[in-house]
Amino acid sequence: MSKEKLQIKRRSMFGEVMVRFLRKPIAVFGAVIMIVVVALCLLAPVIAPYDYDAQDITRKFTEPSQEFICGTDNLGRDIFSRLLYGGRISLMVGFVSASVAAILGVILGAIAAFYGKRTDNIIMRILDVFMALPQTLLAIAISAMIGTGIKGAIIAVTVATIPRYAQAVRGPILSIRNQEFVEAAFAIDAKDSRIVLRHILPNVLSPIIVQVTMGVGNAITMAASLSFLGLGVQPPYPEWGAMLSAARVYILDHAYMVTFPGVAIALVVLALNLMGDGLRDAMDPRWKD
Amino acid sequence: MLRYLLKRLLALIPVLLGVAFLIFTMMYFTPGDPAAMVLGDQASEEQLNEWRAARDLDKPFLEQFGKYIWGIVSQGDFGISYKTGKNVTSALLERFPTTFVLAIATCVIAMVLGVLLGILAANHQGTWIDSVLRVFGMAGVSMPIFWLGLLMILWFAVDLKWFPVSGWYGPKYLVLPALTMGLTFTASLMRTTRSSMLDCIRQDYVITARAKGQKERVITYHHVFRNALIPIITAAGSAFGIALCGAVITEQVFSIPGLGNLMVNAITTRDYPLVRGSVLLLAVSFSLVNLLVDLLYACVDPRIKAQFAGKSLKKKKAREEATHE
Repeated sequence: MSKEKLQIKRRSMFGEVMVRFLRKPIAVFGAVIMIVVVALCLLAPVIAPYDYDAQDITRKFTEPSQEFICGTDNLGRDIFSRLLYGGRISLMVGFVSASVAAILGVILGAIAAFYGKRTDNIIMRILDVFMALPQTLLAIAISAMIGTGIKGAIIAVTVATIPRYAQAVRGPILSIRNQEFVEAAFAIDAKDSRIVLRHILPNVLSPIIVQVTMGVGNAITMAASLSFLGLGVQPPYPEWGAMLSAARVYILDHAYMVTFPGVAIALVVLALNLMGDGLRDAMDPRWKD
Repeated sequence: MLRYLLKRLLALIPVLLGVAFLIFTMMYFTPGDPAAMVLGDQASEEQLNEWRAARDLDKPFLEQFGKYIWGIVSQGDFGISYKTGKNVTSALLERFPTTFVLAIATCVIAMVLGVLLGILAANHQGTWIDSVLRVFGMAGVSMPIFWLGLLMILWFAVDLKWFPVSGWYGPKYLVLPALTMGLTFTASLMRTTRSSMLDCIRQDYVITARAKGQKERVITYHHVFRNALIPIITAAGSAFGIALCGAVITEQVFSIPGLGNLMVNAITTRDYPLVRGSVLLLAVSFSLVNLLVDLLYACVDPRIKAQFAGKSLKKKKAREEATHE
């Protein structure tokens, strides 16, 4: 009995969060979907029945059947294979831009909150300018400048989302900065970098993780919106938004072409949102209803 | 209050100048020579130079920016479109009402549905109603707008033939696009309303109201909802701002000739004065809506109003004391 109690006490923060996360069936459901989707996309070369670029004009507009699970598109390309390969691009764009934006945003927010006064003022006024534009509009304007393509989409989404991350960490850091343990660290003459990295950031880690989880979904949607407008990833690549954009023309006669890429985006974003919700509850028990 | 309004309006100026600078810089450093693009390969060097000079493109960067801003401030002149040679301002004014109407319709749908469903969910917390609404909310937040729009077309225009597929020729054409955006914002507004209501439901004054035998309806709308309003207004306000800009995508789905449509076409044809103008106009409207939301707080919440009053009173006192010394 006593041994068991000791073990419970020894459980790390990570273990604690995991246990609470796993108790939420909806959150676990989201995580499972995400794992399955990521696995499918990573294994695309093995699983995909056809190449994403393999055309067969004689079999264009084949309705979903056993041979083509999701049917074929206007060039006779297998939509299921394209979805798998496209998932790699969509997920990559989402993960890369969300994590880069989070890192840069946290650095900016931390510098602003930690040094305060003029530094804070300058950084936040600049971010104010970026935040005067809604994210999607900013991303559109940026991609209009740097041009289309996967890299362009990543940069546009990243820059557009940095300010939100910076703003999200600034508040919590401001309140933590005045606590005794930070003062103690100053008192023993710890370096600024050490105080920020070892004492302050670990305390704001949970909101950051939740933000990033949902941020990936947001980034995927934004990148898909860009492609849909013809600004992001361009047609030969089967990015989900680009697929939707190309399929739009055929919506009247071949609705399945529009359905599947949309389901893919919505499913992934939903899964990430469910995970984010679950993580928030798991990391901060006070949030529980 | 008036002082506060003035202060906020003044604070808006540097932000908007910053936005204008940002967008101007972005368009300025975009690769490609507009003169060569518009006049084509056959144009002589002289013609190119003449074209550039007519648009001040041969001037240094800061001078160009200064002239641009001065044109907007003094005459509301956003420059001349590269492609059509027409005034950008008139193109913007022609398209803006469409987008505005769409955003208003979206907001009305989102506010009515979102708030009502949010209250419903909060009042039935933990029951099946709450679960169903939670699933709806999650799905709504996760749906990309353009896909929801395509689905709407598929269901209500192609299959049921209730509404036209696309275009903009009358009120009937407004329904699907407004519903598309409206449902997305309904989902997020519902979630905000629910959590804000739940925060207030546990307050002591609600227990007091119940204890004295007040009717549930009155408690919900009078005691809880009114106190839960601030986050709801924030969400509704930002929904309106985002709807203005989210219209970029929706207009593309439904082929509506609004500001967003104008902007996307301008981007693909590299008509930078038009891009600049439309982004700037959207940014200004977005900022003004946010300001309006902040002002609404004061109307809704006497505590915040008292804060403004208190602040200016305190300042006045401090100034009087300072002058006395």
